[in-house]
Amino acid sequence: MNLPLGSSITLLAKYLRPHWRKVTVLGILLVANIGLQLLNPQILRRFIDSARSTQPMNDLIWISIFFVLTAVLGNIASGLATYMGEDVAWSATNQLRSDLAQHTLALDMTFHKVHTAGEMIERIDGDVTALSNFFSQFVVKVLGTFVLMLGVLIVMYIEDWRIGAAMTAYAALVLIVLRQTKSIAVPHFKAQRQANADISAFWEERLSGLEDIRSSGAEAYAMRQQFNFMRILFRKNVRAAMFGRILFSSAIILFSIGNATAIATGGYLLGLGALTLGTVYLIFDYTGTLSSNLRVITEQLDDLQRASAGIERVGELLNIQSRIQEPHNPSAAFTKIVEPLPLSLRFEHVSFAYDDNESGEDNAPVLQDISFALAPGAVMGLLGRTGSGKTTLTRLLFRFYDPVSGCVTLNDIDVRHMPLKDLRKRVGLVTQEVQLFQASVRDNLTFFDAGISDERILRTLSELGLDEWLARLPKGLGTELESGNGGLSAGEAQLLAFARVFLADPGLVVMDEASSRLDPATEQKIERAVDRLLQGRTALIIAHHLGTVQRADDILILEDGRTIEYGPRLDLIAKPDSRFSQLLRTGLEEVLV
Amino acid sequence: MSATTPKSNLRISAFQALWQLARFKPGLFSIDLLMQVPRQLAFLIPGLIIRECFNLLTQNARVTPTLGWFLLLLVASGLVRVSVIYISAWLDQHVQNYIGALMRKNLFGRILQLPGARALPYSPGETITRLGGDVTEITTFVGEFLQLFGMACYAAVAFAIMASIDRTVALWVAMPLLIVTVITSFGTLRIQGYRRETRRATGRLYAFIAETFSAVQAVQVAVAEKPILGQFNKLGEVRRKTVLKERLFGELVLNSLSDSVTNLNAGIILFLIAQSFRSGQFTLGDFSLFVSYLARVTDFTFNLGRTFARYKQIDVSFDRLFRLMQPEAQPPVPAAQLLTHGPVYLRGELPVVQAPVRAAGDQLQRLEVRNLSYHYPNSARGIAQINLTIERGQFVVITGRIGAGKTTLLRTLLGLLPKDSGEILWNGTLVDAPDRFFVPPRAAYTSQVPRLFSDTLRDNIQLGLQTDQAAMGEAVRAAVLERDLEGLERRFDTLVGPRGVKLSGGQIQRTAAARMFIRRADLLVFDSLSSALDVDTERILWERLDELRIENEELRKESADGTSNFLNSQVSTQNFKATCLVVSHRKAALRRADHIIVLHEGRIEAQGKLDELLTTSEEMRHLWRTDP
Repeated sequence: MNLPLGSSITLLAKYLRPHWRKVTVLGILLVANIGLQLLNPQILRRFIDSARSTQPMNDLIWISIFFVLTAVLGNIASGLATYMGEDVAWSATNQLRSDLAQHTLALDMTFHKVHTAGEMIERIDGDVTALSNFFSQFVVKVLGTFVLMLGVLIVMYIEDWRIGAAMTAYAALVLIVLRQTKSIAVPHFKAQRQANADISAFWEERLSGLEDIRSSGAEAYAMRQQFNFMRILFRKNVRAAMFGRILFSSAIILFSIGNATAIATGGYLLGLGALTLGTVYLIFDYTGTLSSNLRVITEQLDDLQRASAGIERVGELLNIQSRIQEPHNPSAAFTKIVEPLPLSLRFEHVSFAYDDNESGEDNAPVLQDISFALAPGAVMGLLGRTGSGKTTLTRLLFRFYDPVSGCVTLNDIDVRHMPLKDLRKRVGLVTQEVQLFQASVRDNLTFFDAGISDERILRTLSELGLDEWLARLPKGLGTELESGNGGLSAGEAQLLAFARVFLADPGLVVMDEASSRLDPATEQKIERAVDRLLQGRTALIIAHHLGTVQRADDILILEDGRTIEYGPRLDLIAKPDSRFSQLLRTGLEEVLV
Repeated sequence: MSATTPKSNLRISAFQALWQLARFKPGLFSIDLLMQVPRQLAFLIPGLIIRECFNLLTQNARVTPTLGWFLLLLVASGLVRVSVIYISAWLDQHVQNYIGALMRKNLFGRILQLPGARALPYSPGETITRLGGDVTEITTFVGEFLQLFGMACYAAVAFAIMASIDRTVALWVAMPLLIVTVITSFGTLRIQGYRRETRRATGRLYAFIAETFSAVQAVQVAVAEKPILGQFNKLGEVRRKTVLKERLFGELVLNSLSDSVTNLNAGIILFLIAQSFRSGQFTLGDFSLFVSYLARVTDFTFNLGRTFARYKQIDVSFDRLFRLMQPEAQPPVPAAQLLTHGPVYLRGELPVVQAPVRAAGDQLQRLEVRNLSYHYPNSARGIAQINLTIERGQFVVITGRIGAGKTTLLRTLLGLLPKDSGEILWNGTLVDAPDRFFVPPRAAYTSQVPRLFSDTLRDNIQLGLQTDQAAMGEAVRAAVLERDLEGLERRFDTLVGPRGVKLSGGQIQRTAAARMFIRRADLLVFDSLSSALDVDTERILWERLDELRIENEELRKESADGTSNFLNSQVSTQNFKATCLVVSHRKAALRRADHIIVLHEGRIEAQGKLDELLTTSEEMRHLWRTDP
């Protein structure tokens, strides 16, 4: 077994420590359960031996009552222990999930670009749930079962060493045989799962391609294919059922051998006068306990192996470091930008290339030698075709990536010298689309920050002309939105993105204007929103519409990551041969989108 | 207070449904049911042997040869039990797979019968959970039920044996078991409720993780990591609580109850037998027998309770499957068709796919569409009052802006969408079921976004049609796919589709075109190729298609008898000339057109020849201007 035992125990200890009280109770319950399970057959022996002697009848009655009490108490202790184990496991692993979420949320875009949201579900929850079983099962089942078996064997040795020896041999035999037979079934279970996955994939593809099947007259062919998949699944099911029963069957035969051994050894020692008849039954009873626990252990060992894969993956994830590092000694001047004033922005000879870990080769530069300066309160229009580097340029501002060379400054401070949190609090982003959470409107606007008052949210929405929209919602701010785009139109989505930024109140705004055409009413609302947004703020706008460009003080046109034109808008208009003038003549929308 | 809802007219009860399934393979089912009896009764043997062993030990107080024989018998009985279990499990698998295959066959067959673009009331993912999960749920239940029957026999015989030893004790221990059955059946229902809650809580957590990481950039920009994490922890805590509730009930209440009842019963026996034990009436062997039988009878009562509760679940599963049958959709079928008996081919030869046969009236002379309308449910979009006529051999182009209803028109004509009203006439004869009529050899279709399946390229083109290599080559050339074929390492044997080599959008569309060409249909219908093909490729495709049409025409003229397989390249039916109905806004297609139909907002704005339309139709001029 390749169990990274060291790291598992470290992890176990770290996350169980805060729950030490529950863990202690759990331990006591386990010990109590084991004790009661060992005690119970002893009472039975007393009963049998007393009944055969001449003790008073009343004693027998009391013994039988005592027997029921210990047995039922043992059951309750065992049930409680399992419950407590789950409780501790979920509390501990929820903390681990939370740590993982926190860790991955702080990672930079290089990580998030290659890991899909679906994958994150698997890594933050799936792997940890496998671990959760490890937490609860390891303690309760494996440890508990192991101690109980040890206890049974010790008690048997105390009764008579020959019994102990016989049962130790039996236990070893069962463990070896069950471990061996267990692996026989594994490939067949895998094949069964594969056959199930194959027929599901078949359905998925055909159900998505029904038009093709129908119009090609291929229904009979599709049916024939389904018959074939069902036939394969049938064969794999039969094989899995047959091979899967090997473990159970071996257990039946082994346990018969165990019972026979117990009775034979017990009977032999009874003949020697070393034991009473009650003790023979005691041995028989203990053998039953031993047998059923041996089976539990065989099952648990596989779960442990599965959990170990989870532990490794969790460790890997926690070891990934963000490439964007917080400054060691942040610039003392950064406090200046915290004040609610428009910021100045400067790009100095900035070049950038994406660096994918996988490819290893040098990637083509996305931005090359970009320089510009934006005074506080000024507006710059950023133009260029799709893929010219506009979005990348804005990402450097938020430090989603750091430039390969050159630097980006806010109020003349290199962004790399500012605490990430302060930087991002002072720079806002209005995106084309707004990704929503399956949560209330309120939580969607504030990102679950309860510190922002309803009054402020309502004011912001009404300033943006969204009060009509809000009025249509059945529960106002408390209305749950659907995830994805929540059934919003493109215009409404952008207005909600505005609302998020207004609530954050930044000194510099980056805006990616909606490229799609909006209806005139929404267009007007957006115009007004932009007006409001630009008051007292510096802005960098990725423009798609002429109207927006006209607000800009400066224009920068990007092509293949290079600046091909940069200057004050009015100067560019004055030059009829400038690229900007050409763009205005041919129409912005046709060329840029 | 009417008891008959529309729903009850559509479906039969779960009990009737299960009975239908049981009768599917009556012989197999009966043998499986009978086999459950020895399978369970075999578990009585060790109890009896051990009883004898303890009685012998009580009498002789030492190991005697008789005891030795009994112990050997004990081990041997293990082998007997194992072999009975194997035979029975083998039969179980057959029963379960046969009835599962039957339901899947009927469901899939029904889906393939409904209009292709509207066959699924749910997403493919949801449909698969029904085809897969709900069917398995039912077959598993059948397996459990069979086993329960065997266990009931065990319980009956076990009680008879126990009663023959001591009637009073046997009666006393029966009581708690009855209570257990009741508690379990209620408890199982409760647990199922808790499990649903757990699933919901887990679902919310998953959705939140997915949403957070889809919006990770927005979260980072807004410096919202902390509140987001807070929400994450909150959802995690909700899930933890629901899981614990489920476990508390399952683990503490039900499982502990099961063990406690066994122990309680053991105690009751001790209490009752104290007297007779001493007198030797009730032996140690009897005691061991009672303890071992009671454990298994307790299991039986638990299973009984559980199966009662599960029956309710099965009712839900059947309901979900009956809904998937869509009994009310055109053509309507009884919901019980889900259970109609028929071959499922788990053994023997798979059914042969018949090649389409060309009948006398199949040859297209004229296609007429009168007042054809279709509207999407809950939407104003659709097509209305479409009238058009296509003559044999014509190249007809449908054009219009995005959302004009071009694809809807094709789908409605071909029956992939059920028309609201209107008539379709083929050679003057009314077509009553377009979806079954407009298939090869009469018509073939390439949709706008065709799907390839995870199979070889050959299988994807043939889709079960047996054709020779020359016919394949011809179809591939006509579809301008021969260059791409060269690029594929294993040519026609290359695995394509979602799990194979990823082809480009254009390659997929041309593969679909080849799929259409190889079927030699009279009417070829293309939805917009231009979304995935560049201008040049589309032009070459139209040219090749012309060649193919003329070539076929000539071949067919030469061919003396048209009775042989028309699908192979060297032989052809007479007078074949493919008629084409094409959605396109490309000039290459419009110039080639014998007839153009201009659609605007679901209605025909104008139709005629290109030059006429360019002078008479403003919409046509607009389209002509804006397209390359």
